[in-house]
Amino acid sequence: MKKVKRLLTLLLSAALICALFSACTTENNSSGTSNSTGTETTDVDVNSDGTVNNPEAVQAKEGYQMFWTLFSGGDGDWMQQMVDAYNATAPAKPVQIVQCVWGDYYTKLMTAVAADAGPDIGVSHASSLPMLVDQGVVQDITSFADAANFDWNDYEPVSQNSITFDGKKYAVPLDTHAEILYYNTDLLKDAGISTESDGSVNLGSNWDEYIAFLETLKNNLPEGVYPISCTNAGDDPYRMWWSFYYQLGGSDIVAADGSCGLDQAIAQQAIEYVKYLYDQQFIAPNVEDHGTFFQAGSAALYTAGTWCVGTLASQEDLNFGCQVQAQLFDQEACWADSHLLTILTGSADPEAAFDFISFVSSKEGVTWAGSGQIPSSISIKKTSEYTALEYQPKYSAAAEIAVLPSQTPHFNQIKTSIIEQLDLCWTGEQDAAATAAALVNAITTALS
Amino acid sequence: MSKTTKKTLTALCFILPFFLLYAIFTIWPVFQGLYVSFHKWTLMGKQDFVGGANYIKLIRDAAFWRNLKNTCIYVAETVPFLLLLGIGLALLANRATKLKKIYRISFYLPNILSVTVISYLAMYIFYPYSGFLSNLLHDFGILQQGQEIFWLKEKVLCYITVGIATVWWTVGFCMLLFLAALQEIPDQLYEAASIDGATKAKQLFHITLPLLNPTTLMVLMLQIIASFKIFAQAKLITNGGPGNLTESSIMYIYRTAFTNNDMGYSSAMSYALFIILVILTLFQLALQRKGEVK
Repeated sequence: MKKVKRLLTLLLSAALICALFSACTTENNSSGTSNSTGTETTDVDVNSDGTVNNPEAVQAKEGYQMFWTLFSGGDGDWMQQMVDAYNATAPAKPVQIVQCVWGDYYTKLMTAVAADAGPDIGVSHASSLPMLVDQGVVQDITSFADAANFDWNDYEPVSQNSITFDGKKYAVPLDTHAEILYYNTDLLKDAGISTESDGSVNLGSNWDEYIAFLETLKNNLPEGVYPISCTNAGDDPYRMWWSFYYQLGGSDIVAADGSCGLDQAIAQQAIEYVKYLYDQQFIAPNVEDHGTFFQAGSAALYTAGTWCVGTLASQEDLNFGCQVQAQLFDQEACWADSHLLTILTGSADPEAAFDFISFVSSKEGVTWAGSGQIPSSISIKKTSEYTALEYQPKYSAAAEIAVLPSQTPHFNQIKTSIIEQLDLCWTGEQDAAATAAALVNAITTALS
Repeated sequence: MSKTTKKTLTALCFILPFFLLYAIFTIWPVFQGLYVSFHKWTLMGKQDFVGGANYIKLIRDAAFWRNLKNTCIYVAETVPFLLLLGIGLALLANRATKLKKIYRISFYLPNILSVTVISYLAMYIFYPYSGFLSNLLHDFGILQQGQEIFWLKEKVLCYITVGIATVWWTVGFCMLLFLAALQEIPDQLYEAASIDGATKAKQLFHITLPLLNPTTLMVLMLQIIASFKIFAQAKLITNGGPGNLTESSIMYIYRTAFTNNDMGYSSAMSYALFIILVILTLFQLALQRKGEVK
């Protein structure tokens, strides 16, 4: 009896230990395959939208390069098309794509590269590239570009500058995504405003004319319909402020010597102009989702990114137009960021990786334009395929006046701090002067 | 081998798997975090040894102290309600009624939901224009057409919204602890009190609540610590807004680590918070011992 008890105790302990270790393995949300990789594996945690929570667990197929992207949904489909187009050219090393979750892409990318488990190719925003360069996450691609006779002149100077650090190039630009203006043509017609012969709308050439235009809208739109759809916190009013700041002639918020370069007086002016739009109720108050608000016909104008064009175009009962944001002050400028293609440190075959990223940027730009973004390649924008697109050519000029994020590894921290302070002003917790002073303080703190 | 030694070895075999994992994933990171706090450390790894620079930076960081104040507000607005509601719901769930089981299940049910679910529920309820509460208030005529309450945008209302979500989510756990303690109170005490003519109210205040004291102090301690660590629901529901006015300490630590890529400084802040909580807990325990002596 004692022996039986002992045996049972041992068996129970063994069962508990096995259960403990089996509970530690990752649960697979799919049937064992990942539709983003085509590789059969049981360790990959795939979400319902095809993004992968643990991209480092995805095994590359024999002879393939691994490409981690932060694009999913419609953008993910466009990128998959581009990868398929590249692989159809029978390259020496085809590419295998993994769609990562947008929110923790950079964290996963950096920790994977640090652990020598990173991909060959990655995507970076222009705002994040300085951090990746500073941390040694991405490779200098200058020599690969020179060996391939890559034509850098096919890219706007602002795009070239965004990928150049101490004379060396660290990425190939894929697109510029700018904050542009969308407008509901039916609502404008109801308000008695006609569009120009090219379909664009004339908002005026200075601030006073712009306000007069908004007053016309406000006085003639139906009850409950506002001139502008924009949130009162977060990225979109920040982008509006950014555009106004640089249109007013503001200096780069990070000076060449790495110190705070924000022009406090101009920053305050820009804040006051944006605040005026809220105070006069040209912007609907406290809108959570300004895209849905515009799509519901609750606003005539909508300031949002180029990536929104696909969503608006898919709504059958919405007649809209789009264009570059108006120049209301001294300079032409608009907020923009850029998607860049990078080669990660530790890539097994950087020449093959460069072959892919140069192909995608210089040859597949029209495909990528389907996502709404503006292809970085100038020659792509001149092709008949691109000019035949319904909406994209109307705002492609935004890439020429885009003011990309400052080249500092601390930009994301600076941006978060700026948005925090601006949000306090839009919600009435802080006046414009105090906000401008707080911006200087925030940028200085981030750079220290 | 003696019997005692055999029993000890058997016990160790059962404890070992858990202890190994606990040591690797809980105890070791405590010491590793302290090591990281003395360095400039990013997601790419150790950069430089900086000594106490991160701790000096913390003392001068207005954002850290502001967020600590915000966290204290979260603690002050949730803990009293958790205690009072926890006791109240436990008393209700302890009554010998036909609904006893339903009470116990429904009061505890929110606690089994994940923080993401309760956060999205809160947003669904409190959204302006289209939220459940907004529609309800308009339907009952409490809010007129065009009037809105911006629960997720105004500073005081943000605290209230996150507080309501937190209390609703957590009160079941407090109720469970109080319910277990209520079961331990001997019925003879109530019988004797009834015989002596004590009313239900007198029994509550002179028998039930005094005997619940140890549990109350334990729940108070646990909830203060838990509320100091508030993160997920505040991040999801209001993201510390408007601006950063309701950002908690953990949210700031998280932002410093993963947005600002400064693991060293965020580790230093984590340790500062840890020391504050240890001091609070020791203070509470000292008060508790003083109370017991009396």
